[in-house]
Amino acid sequence: MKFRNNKIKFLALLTSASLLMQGCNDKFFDAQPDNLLNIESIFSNRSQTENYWGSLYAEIPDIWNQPYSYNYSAISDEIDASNWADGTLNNFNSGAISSDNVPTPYVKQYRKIRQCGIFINNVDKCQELKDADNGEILIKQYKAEAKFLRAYYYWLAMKSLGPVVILPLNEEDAVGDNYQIPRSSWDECVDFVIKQMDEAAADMPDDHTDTQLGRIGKMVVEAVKSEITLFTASPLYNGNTDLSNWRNLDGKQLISATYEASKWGKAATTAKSAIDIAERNGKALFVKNGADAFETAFLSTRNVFWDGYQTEGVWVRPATNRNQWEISSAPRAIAGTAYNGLALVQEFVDDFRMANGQSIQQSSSYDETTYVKQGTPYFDTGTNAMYSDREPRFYAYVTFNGSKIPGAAKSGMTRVEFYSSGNSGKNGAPRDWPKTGYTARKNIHPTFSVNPGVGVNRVAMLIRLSELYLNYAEALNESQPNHPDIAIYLNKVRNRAGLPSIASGLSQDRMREEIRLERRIELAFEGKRYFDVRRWKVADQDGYRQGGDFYGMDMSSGTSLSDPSFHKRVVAVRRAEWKDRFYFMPWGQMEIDRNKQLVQVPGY
Amino acid sequence: MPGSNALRKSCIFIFLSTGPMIGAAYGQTITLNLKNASLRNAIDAVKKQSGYDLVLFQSNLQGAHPVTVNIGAKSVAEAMDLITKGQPISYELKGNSIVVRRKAAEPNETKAIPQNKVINGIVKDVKGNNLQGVTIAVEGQSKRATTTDVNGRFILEVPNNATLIVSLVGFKSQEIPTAATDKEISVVLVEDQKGLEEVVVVGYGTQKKESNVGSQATVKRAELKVPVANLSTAIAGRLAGVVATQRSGGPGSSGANLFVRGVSTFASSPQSPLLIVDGVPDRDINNIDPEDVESFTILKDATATAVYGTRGANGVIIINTRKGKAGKPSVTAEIQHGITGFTYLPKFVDGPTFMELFNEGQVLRGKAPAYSADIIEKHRTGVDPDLYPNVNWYDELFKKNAANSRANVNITGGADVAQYYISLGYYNETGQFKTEDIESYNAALKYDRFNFTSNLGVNISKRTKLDFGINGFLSNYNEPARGRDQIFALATQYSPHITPIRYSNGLWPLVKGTTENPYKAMTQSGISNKYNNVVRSNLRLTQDLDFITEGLKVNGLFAFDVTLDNNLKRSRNLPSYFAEGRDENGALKMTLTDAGSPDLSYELLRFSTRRMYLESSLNYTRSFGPHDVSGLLLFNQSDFADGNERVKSYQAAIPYRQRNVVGRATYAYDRKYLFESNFSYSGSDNFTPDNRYGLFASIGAGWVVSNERFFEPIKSIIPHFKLRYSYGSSGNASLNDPNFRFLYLTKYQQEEDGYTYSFGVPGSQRTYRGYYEQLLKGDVTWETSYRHNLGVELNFFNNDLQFIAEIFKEDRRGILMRGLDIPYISGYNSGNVPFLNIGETANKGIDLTLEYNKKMTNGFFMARGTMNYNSNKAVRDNLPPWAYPYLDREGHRISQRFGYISEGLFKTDEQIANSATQPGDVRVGDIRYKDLNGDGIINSMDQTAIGYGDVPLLTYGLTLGGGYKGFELSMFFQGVGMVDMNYASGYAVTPFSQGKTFGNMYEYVTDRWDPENPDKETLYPRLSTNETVTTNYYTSTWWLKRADFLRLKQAELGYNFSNKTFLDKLSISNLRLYVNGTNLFTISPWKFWDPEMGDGRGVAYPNTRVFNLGMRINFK
Repeated sequence: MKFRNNKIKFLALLTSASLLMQGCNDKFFDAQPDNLLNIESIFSNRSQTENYWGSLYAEIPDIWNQPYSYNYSAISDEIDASNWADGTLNNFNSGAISSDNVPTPYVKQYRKIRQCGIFINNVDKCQELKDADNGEILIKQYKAEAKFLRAYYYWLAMKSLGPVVILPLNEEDAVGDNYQIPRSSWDECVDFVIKQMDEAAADMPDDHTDTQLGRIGKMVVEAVKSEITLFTASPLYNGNTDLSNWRNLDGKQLISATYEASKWGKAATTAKSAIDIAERNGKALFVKNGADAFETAFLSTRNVFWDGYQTEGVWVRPATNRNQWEISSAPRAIAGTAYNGLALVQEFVDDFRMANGQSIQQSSSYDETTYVKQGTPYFDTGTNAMYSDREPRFYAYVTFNGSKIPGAAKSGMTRVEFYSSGNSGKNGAPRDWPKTGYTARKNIHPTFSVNPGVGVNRVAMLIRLSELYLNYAEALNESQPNHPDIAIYLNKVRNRAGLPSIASGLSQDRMREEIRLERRIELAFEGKRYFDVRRWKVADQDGYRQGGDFYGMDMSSGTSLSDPSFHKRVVAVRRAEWKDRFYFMPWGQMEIDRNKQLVQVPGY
Repeated sequence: MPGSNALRKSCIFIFLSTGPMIGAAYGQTITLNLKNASLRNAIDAVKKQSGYDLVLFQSNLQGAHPVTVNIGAKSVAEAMDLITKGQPISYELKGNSIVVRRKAAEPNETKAIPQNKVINGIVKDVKGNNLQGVTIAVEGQSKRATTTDVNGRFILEVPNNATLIVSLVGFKSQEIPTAATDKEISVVLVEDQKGLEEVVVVGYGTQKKESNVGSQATVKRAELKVPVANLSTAIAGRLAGVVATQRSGGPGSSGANLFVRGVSTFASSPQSPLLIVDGVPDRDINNIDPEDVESFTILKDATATAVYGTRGANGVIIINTRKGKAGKPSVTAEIQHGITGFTYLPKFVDGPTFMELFNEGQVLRGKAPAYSADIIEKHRTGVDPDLYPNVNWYDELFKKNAANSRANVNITGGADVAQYYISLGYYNETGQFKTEDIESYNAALKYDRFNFTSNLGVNISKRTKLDFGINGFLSNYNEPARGRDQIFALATQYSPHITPIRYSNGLWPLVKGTTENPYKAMTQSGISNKYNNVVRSNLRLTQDLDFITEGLKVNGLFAFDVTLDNNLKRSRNLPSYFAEGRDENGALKMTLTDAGSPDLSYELLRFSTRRMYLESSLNYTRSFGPHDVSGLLLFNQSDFADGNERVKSYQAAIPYRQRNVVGRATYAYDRKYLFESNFSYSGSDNFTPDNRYGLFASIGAGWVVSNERFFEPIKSIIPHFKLRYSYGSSGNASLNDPNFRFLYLTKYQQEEDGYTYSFGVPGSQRTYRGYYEQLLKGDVTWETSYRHNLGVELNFFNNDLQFIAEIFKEDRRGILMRGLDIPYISGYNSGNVPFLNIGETANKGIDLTLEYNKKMTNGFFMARGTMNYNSNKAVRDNLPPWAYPYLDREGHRISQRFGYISEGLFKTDEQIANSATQPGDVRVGDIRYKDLNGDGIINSMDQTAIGYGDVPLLTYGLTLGGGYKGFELSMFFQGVGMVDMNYASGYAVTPFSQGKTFGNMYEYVTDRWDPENPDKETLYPRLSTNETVTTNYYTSTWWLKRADFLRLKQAELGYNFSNKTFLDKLSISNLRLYVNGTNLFTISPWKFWDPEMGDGRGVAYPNTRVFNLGMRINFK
């Protein structure tokens, strides 16, 4: 009996075991994610396709996300942020930047370059988009924008790295897995980028507005081309004999040692053409009227960043983290206590002219030893006279000891005090004080407040019309020194800022100096200075010096607004001496290791 | 079944039947109708119907006649009378036994044959428990033998003056001479530790130790009972072949990182061994009460692990929990209580020193000092601690001591039909964090855990056994909302001179742009409370199939585990202020620096996982004369649904599935020549259908030299000598990150924040969020390990001294790694290039175990040393080719540290001018690096392999134990060698890396380069601050320090009470009192923090030193 019993049990066990094996055999491993996207599914749907298209723009830098994300102001002779501990800024300013620690934005830029190609090759598959109203036109425009952006990301890489690797347009087919590709020469890169942009512009309208604001149209393309041609004509790239040995492994020279004057001519015509398209589309320098000419100039140059972008903004980035800029540069006297950290160096402060257009060296009224008896809407009684009677942009762009509070004031406070015991001085905050005794004021809204949080939503202007004017004046001064347009366009910028017209009959060199100074002031903190001093190849020269000691007021002294012990020039910031390798950023070592055809910038 | 008959004939002795008939009524009537039945069958039938035991020797039945009877309802005696009528035997009824004898022979023969007698006996263990299944045999007459019943009793007919041999596996055999008068004997068997190991745990079962050819090691339960929460913490150094590193201690710390024979694959793959509890894979071994552990085993070589197929490559750890033991209930209780304290805690500099050093870092680099002398003096004198603070954060944060308690009660017992083991455990540990009385919550750092284990074994029938085990725990961990290790991190980030702990006006301080006040974070941030509930169950059915063929069993196991974690977090951030100065009345002028959110938030996260495991197997074990064979055929599959916090995507949430078919065959000839082969055919859902299954196999062979005849002459000196070798493959199938599964599919993902773009005027914007390749598909399959293992086992001095040495060599191929050699101009980057089977590594090393055990009349002595050395190597890492051969990671250890070679400090400016350019500021007193490529620039091209790394190459342990009368002393030393750490990272290590207000400094910084005495040897070079970038804190040989250590990990002194009368009054059979200590002292060249904490910043709750008092009671 027992025998049989066991046998039955055994059989039952075996059967159930084999059933278990059998029962789940077929589908046991078949579970796999059913929510995975692929190229086909993304481009089968209009919303996903447009999302793909829209974020092709996403690597366009947010120039007001300073000082970390966009750091060019803090690593040039504009501002200092060294009281805060940012490794990247310190690496640059200590001269320690190398292929091992350099930021590598090009990784993201080349990622976008690939995505632009993917978009161009796949957008036609989106039937839903094709079938939409104006579908074919939309596709054409989207493709053109992708084409522009692909070229633009190359340009961004070129601005910092110099000549870059240009991939074949039909990348997958041409390259396969072999990405061992050398740099193209600067001129080849520029030709490629300009050609791509021209092709793209052909399929674009002039401009986009309202809900489409920020999209690329012909106006933007031409403005970007103006920058590219201006750079290319400049001494760093045009006839630079210092870098004639910078060559690919096969001997190809990367930067031409032969000066071509025609490049300036091309820069001038491109700038003019960009100005023409912009003006044709209603762009003008923004003006906001005040009680008098001075106030008009002040309001115009201050409010352009929130009231004037539709007038003056040639290319805008509709979303910006401008709060980072405002909170970093506004003084502690702001309600809720801002960070009080983006410190203008004295050299820049000194570059602002007197109200009559004279430099402080030329002016007889400039005085650092007395204190004003009567305050103005811009500063309090008792402020050092060196800050009085300056050009309007000085009051729009610079916060100094005694100036009015740039945003909403803390209760009971009317002015900014940078002297040691002052409301934004060194005492009272272990690290949130500007080493130079100045902070940046541009693009801080008068209602800005940290707590309660108040911020006026606005766009970032990547290219303003005034920049195009200055591009044109500069290029023309190099190609046709006596052309009347030089003064006309320079004066448009000067006059809007409340400065008198430039004296007539200046030599080409003097005019060059004036234009360069105008760029420094007008485009302050907008991410231009770092590149300008490089392309001019003057980063080691007086007035443009990027390394060494920078001065400021004596932050460790002073117990009152009119305390002379504060108003004393001291070395505030000490940076590494300039080295010519800083003209270009190195490729990261990771890339040098991977691409054996890639030659590094000399000196790294 | 001819085989079965053959076996029966060769049977040495006949078993007494002790079937499942206990409790049957005796003296019942017998009904029999037999025709020409054998006498034996007739007697068996009576036995069966009566329920009597039978004492009979088959040889006594020689010459019996067939029986033909027709008995109706007679008594046992009547029935036996009829059956034995005319037979050459007589019988006697004794108690409930039928004793059958040969009829007395002729008187003249009687003198020649010694007279037989019946002996009644009972066998117990030292604790007085009856022992079942003990074999009692007569010396020289192997056919005369029996075994004890459930009550430990036996009856055996023996010749006069015979010697009985009483034996049971796990106990020392005894020889008992029976004097002519002995009718009743009582035997006490003593446990034999070596005997216990005669069976070893192997994959999916056990094997006789003698015939095992694989590499495995076990540790005893007693040694696991260290006052720590995690078992993994307890085993470091105990087992030859386990490398364990305990990176932090204290309540809620995670267990040690365990590596079997070191690390043998790249960090992208799992490096840890497969964990198996009660036969079910992937169960966590931490949080098991050591009291409940029956055996703790590691499997190291291919033969031992091949059966685990794709999971075995990193070794296997098997824990079996205790099973019930038949006998009357045995209750054991243990309780211990201890005090804990940090092993090491670095010291910080005080505020004034910090400020002076900062100034020095500025001035020595040509920059302005930040603090004037009178300000520093104000901090020093404490004239106004609100404005000029000076805080030593560690002193303010921690109490001197905390506590640790453990208690366990378990009971085991049962009868033949069922046995049980039931255990209840409690563990509690508190931390050294100070607390403040806050009405609504208690943020104390503490950990409580309740464990339970219940293992039942039921003999459904003689051949069918059901084991049902359920165990689990409920733990509750409480900590400040900011988290345990975060407090240490904050203390290293918070400068000593910027604020007091709390302002005198009661407000909490914060300096904008710096981090949270650690004291506030610890006492005011709210609480985090985590309940972890784990229940694991196993249901195992074992069916003997010896009716088909002897030695065959079928086995089914179903296991189901659930875990439920309940994480409650209530956090807040009280408003913080900064005192800018004092007003004219002397009151502090406060600025709000963080409005905070003073209300306690509520966040409840629940995580749950579920595991199902199914296994069925056929086992076969049998001996044919000198041939021992065994076989295993097994099928299993597992299904694990991960619902833990780390699951961030649907692909990670899809249950993990595995399926294996496993086989093993062993053959031994004459206990001398041993062979074993294993295979596993494994499937995993990780791979494409084409690559889904992999075959892994191993072979092993052994030679027990000591069983050879030629060895006899020296066997008295070397009783055991075995050589064994194995080779085979096993796999490793997944990546560490659960969010990287389905590697054979390209995955697109929508862009994160920061990668979007918007169009439109402010107020009417639309944001576009695109898609990117999160991962490109790769054609992936298994990572495979190929391992050789050669072992020698030698025993000396009557087996008192045992020596095991093993050398191993492993090649790992097809390691899943990303194809990182593609340039990023491709638009792809290290984040999304595909995984491929491209990595290769090698590992080799040696394990040694030397153990000595000596029992003496009044005590014992034992010593065991274990050692593991392993050296691994990256063979192929698929990184892009390096510019210089010395940069190549291939050929070096896995995770080899690379850095610069320090040539000391610069002595003169000329030396700087004549040396390679180092980026940043370079002055006398800065570290000078070797320009390996001679290009005049120090950059990453000048790095090379430096040092060992923070996982030790050499791990060793020494256990010493001794007892005399009631006293017992044991000590366990743990050591590691060939390990170093880099002292150059972290806020408190690198001076002022974050400026003057962020970061603290360990006092080691005061040993720094001194311009007054530039030739003095110092730890730190010329100081600098963050404003001057220097190369001093590069990873280099300057900062590399050996971190070998030898630690008295555990010492215990115990006393066993033997005053029986006293104990009897309390119904206690054994009472043991003990004191022990953990982490008592450490010898190490690494002085900065606990060397076991590893590389990095020394920022974690350190390992703790524990002093314990405990008591263990066995109740009668």
